[in-house]
Amino acid sequence: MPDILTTSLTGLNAYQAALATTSHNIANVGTEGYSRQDVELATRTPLRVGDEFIGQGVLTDDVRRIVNNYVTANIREFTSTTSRMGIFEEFATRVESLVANESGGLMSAMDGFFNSLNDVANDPAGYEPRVALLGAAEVLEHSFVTIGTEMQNMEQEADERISFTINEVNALTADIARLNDAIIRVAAVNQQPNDLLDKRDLVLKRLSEKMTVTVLEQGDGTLNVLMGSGQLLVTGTTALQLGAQADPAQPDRLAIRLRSTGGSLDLSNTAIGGELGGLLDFRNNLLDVAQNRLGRTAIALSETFNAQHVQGLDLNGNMGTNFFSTVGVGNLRGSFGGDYLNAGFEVGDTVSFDLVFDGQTINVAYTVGALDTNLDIANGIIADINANANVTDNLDGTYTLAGGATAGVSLTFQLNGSNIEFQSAGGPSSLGNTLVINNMLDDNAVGTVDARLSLAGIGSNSTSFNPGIATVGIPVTFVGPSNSAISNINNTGTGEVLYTISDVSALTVSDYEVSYDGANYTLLRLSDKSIIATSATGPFNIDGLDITVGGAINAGDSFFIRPTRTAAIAFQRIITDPNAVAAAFPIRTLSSVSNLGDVAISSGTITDATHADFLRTVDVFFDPTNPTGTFDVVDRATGNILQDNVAYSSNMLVSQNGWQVRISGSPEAGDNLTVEMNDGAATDNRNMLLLAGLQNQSFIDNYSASYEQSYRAMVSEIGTLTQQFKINLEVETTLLNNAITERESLSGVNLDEEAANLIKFQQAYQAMTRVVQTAQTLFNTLLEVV
Amino acid sequence: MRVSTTYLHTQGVQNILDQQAKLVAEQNKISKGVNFTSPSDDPGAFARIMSLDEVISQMTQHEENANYATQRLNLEESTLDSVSNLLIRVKELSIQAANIGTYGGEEERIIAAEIREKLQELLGYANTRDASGEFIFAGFQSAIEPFVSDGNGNYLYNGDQGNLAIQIGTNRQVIANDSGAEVFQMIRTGNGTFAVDANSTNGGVAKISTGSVITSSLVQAHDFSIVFSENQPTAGSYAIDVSALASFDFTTDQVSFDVDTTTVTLASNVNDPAGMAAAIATALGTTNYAVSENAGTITIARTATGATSTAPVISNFDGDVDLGGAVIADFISGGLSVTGTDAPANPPQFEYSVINNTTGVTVLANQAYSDGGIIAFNGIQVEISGEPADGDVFTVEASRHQDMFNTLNQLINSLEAPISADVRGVIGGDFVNNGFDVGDVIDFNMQFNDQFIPINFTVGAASNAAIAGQIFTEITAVAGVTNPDGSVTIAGSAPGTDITFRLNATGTEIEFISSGGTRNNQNTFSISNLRDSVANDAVLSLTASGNTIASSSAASTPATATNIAALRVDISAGLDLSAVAAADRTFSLEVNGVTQNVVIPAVDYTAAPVGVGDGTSAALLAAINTAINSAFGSPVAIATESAVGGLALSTTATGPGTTITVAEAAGVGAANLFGAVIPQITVGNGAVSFLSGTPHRSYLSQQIDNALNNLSRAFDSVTKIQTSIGGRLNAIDSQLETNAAKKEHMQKIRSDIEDLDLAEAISNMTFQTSVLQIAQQTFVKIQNLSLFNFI
Repeated sequence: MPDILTTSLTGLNAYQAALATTSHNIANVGTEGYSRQDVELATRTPLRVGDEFIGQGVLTDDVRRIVNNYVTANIREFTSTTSRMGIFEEFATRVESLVANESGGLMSAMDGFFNSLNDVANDPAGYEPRVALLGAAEVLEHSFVTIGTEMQNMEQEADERISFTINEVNALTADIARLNDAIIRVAAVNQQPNDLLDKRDLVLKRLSEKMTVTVLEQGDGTLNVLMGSGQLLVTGTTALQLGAQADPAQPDRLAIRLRSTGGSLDLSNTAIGGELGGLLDFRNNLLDVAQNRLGRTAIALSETFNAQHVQGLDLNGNMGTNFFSTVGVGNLRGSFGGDYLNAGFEVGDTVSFDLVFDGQTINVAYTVGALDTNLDIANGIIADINANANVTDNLDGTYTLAGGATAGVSLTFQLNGSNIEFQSAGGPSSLGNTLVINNMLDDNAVGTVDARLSLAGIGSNSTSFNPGIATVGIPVTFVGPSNSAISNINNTGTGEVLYTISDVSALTVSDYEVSYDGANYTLLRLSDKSIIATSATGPFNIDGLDITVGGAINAGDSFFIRPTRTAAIAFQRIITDPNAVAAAFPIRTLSSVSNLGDVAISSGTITDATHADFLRTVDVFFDPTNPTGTFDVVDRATGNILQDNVAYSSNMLVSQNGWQVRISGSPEAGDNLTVEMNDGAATDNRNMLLLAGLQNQSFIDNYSASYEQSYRAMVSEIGTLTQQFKINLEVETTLLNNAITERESLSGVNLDEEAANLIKFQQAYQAMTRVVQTAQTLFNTLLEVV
Repeated sequence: MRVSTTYLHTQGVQNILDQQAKLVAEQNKISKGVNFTSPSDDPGAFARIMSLDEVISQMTQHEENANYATQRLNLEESTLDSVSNLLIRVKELSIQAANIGTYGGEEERIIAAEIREKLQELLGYANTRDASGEFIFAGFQSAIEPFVSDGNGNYLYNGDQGNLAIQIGTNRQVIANDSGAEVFQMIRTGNGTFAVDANSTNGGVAKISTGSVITSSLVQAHDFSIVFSENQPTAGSYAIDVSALASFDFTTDQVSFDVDTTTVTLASNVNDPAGMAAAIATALGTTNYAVSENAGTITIARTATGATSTAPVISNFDGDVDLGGAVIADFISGGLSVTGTDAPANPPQFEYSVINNTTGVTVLANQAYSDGGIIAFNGIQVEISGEPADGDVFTVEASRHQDMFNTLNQLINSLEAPISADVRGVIGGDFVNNGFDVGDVIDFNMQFNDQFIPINFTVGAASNAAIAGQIFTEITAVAGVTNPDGSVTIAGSAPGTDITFRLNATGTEIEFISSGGTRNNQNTFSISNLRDSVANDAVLSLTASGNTIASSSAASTPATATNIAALRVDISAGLDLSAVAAADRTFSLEVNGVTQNVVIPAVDYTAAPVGVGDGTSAALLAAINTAINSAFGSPVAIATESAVGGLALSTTATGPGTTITVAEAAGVGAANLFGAVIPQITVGNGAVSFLSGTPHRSYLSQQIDNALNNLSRAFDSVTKIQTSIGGRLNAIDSQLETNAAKKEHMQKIRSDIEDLDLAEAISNMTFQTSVLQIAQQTFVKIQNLSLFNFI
């Protein structure tokens, strides 16, 4: 009989536990990550009474956590993918709204700019349209700069998010390690660490939001956490830390590294997944490309527009200057000479050499006098430079080789000690500036040592290439301008890689890397990861870039080139005087009023602005003393016959001084046609028409896209990518929801169920108490009997 | 399936949230009226819209451009309308002027004044500015006033030949201006190929027609002159058959006739052909004529070379007996009834030559002229009608460009103040019989406008040809240009005028012709201050030639003096320096009507000859000047060294009416005058002047014709440009239409892509609203279901 009491006591205990678990479940109905628990009841081992086995009551076997590890892993996986896509979409949508802003976007700025050009073309003499054009150009500049800056800001923001997320990841992995530790301890005392397990699962889920992780359960109840790509993050109770460091290749941005005792591992090229992966995806796949595309559009617009603008004539009667800032331009800055007396300039020797710059040559010849100092020799060289017809003495100790073959390009010399320094100015960026010391000769009248001249660069962004020492027969070349490639932080050499944009149409939207293996330089195009050129010395001339290498470069050194990345921010309208807008052509044509014949001359085109001489008045003269049917091309000022007895045929082209005209009709002897400088031509809009026409010309991507097409391609690309992510996000979200549904259906608390359980367990408990009561009654009855 | 309470809750909430998000998106679309709001909604469509936006923006700009071009062209067109109306009016006025019978009258001046107004108006049109103050006809140089006068009647074009192109379609431009050069300046003269004109100096009344092109392949852009010469009726020599006159007795009958201008008188006792021939030869001299006789026929041939090949003209037959009959033939036939009278006036016959001035080649030589006949050369033909005069020149020049202003200006000038014609005349005549005696020093001034040509020579031989030669030599000595044909050209004082002298065919006269006229001033040629050192009886005749130039004074008789130089009288003849001065020398001097005795102190002036040429003493000059000053109270005359080596007195006053006379003083013996008799010498009369006239009316008629031609061409040119503008405006219109259609199409496509179907959207929204409400209600209902509510 006493057994009844014992048995009922087990029942009371068991249902107390069941009721407690149910209330635990009810209490945790709102707890995130909570998995419902269940008390497992089992019958106690029956007591053998004779041949009979009598039940001994109920046993609380275990409080079970209802989970499915597969479902949990699924949730982690889908959480990771949706987080990745979610953050990508979040950032991409912002870029999208930035570039696709209809009213204030770049498209309307470009349309407005080109429409303004048309307005100037309509009324080239008017002041207002010109002012409006400059305004429209400023709006265009503002659009480029705003979008470019915003993109740059977003890059920084992405970097900040990365670094912030890395901190979160580090906290989470540390949590996991701690939980592992706690679980071991709890398990050690044979207790079920159900709630710790839930908590660990929750932390893991949070971690998987940040990055893709896989989990390996260990025998002792701990979990090892691996990155998606297999690197261990948490082992038992230890967690490794992620770090955000400057990217060695591009120090202005962050790279993610995994820190371990042995050092750190670069995770740049690993699929990280989660928010971190999404941020990297956004930065590398969308933002970089968008910035490059935008930059390329800016470069193409400024370069091609400038190239046309400098061919025109402005209202002040000057040739046009650059309208926009040039992106690739840089100037030569260097020096040569110095210690002549110890470099073969022996007393009595006559040393001669040529300085060649932009198609012009300055001859220098110097005979070293008996008492000459280095400074005397330097002064002698400067005197020879100054003696050149194209060199102007600026009367401040500087001498400028003005108006090289290229309009607007000049080179200025100046004495610094006995060094002769030089610096170039102007010029479209597509033309690399080069100074060559050539034809070095030493008559060796006295000694036998050949004279040498050393040529070196000044300043960090104009390092000379093929610099060094000119000797007899060996010229040296100094090339500029240049943008410096980004030197890898880990480079051990001191050399530099410089690049110049030489061909806008060939320009890609890729970044490039130049690396050196000790024997060869390799040019890697990063967009398709293909090696596009290899050379032992450089330079590379590919993809619209002129890349030169120089200085001490060691094996393993690498350089990063981002030719287009920040061009949009650098886009700037530099013309401020409305009258400096070059709407006119530099030449005009006319047929003489006294012509007897009916001969016409076209308004002419500019064929070669770099070798032009538009100031000269040139006559196409049907000289009566010529053979019949021929004409001369005559320079009016000098009377020089430039082309003699040219046979005339109607509709023929005549070229001279960089222009070309078409002449037609039936001339008579003595007839004259004239091409002259177009000064005072306020209403000439010929250059403006060409400038306006640039809108519909395809310069970009191997002459396949116009400015706006190029921009549209960028918007479209961003849109497509964003859309793709959006759609995938929806899919992944559905999958995640399914997994969550699955988990909820398994592990979630249903209050109705718990209520039912509560009733059930209450009733069982009440029944048990009744059993106890019965047992007591039995006892009492027995006792009364006794 | 088990459902957890949390799931039930979150799912319910999620459903509501989802519905709300959809609702917001739909609301967004409806409020913006677009199908999508960001590129990722539909990247393809978004790109297309951006592309369409660019095209539409360009099209809108092109419309603006087209409107701008239309504005410009409309302004130009309306200006050209005014120009063409103006040209029509000027043409009317020209025709009106051409129909005026008289010349130089008030009517012409009124017409000219109106044309002058029109010229100013035209200048205004040419310098039209647009609303922004730019000159529309200046080509590219719109800031500069294109047409300005240089003050000399020429209008300079300061613009250029630039054309402003306006972009009215992607690949379409239209020219929105025409340069002033094109509109006003580059207008061909004449008929477009060549232009004709008559020289203003033409004496005849012939006119040249506009002409036309016959064979265009032969036309060269050369300049031609058609030069007329008057032809004598016969050429070669003149034969007189006198064989029948063997027995003719001139003892009682005397016959005279003129050979050209030389009168031949057959005196008595000449009664055989040989004798007659010899007499004629003697009378004519051998210089210019050769006279021969053969079988009773006397031939008189001209020997002078060069100028003409015509036969001598035999005229003015006269006889002192009445021989009867009236013609030379009668005389030749030997009939006794011959009476010498003038030869019949032969009608003038003209021939012309066409000279290519560009090449110097004579294209047609000595063609007979017929009134109204066609003259064809160089692939073209012109007609000359009316009677020309000898030496008349017509020009046929390759067509040049002439601006409208010049055309009008020339017309005004022709009507208002014709260029003065050239003076053209002959000096001389019979010197020998007009006081040019051998040994006389002849001194006179020729004056062309303000240019003096002093002549001073001593007559060497009693031959008209020799004297004419001497005068011509004097002319040559003046700084002039000797031309290849031996004539001499001396520049006049007025710019562009000069005068050319040459000996006539017989060498006995000096012909002159000026070239270049002054406006509003006649050319004047005069002879003054004629002085003959001996008898002072020389007379010079000045005759106008060219019968149609009106001369105001062509008389060869002395007229009112027009001297503007000092008069000079030579008193060398009275000098006797060798005489020893015993007493004062007194002579009478009259200057401009005032007479005083001039007393020269009795000094031996041979004692101090001072280096003036022939030894005239400076002391003598000083003494005379002092004497004149004291006699008149002022230096009315000054003693000077004479140009011919003597002593002269010159008046200090100049101008018309100036006279000076030196004579013996009344009551004072000739011996008192240097020991010699001094003749009365009077200078002051005998000056003749010859004024050029205005061009003949036929010249004006030619000018008006030319102007009408040029006006027609100007009108054509304006019409052509107007037509072109019309074409361009049409092109703009059609482009605008095309643009508009295309733009509409584009906009429709754009709207199809982008615009929201509102009905659909609103019904969507209604639907979503109700779904949301259902979700919310369901949520409430489900949340209310809890077992706990029942326990």
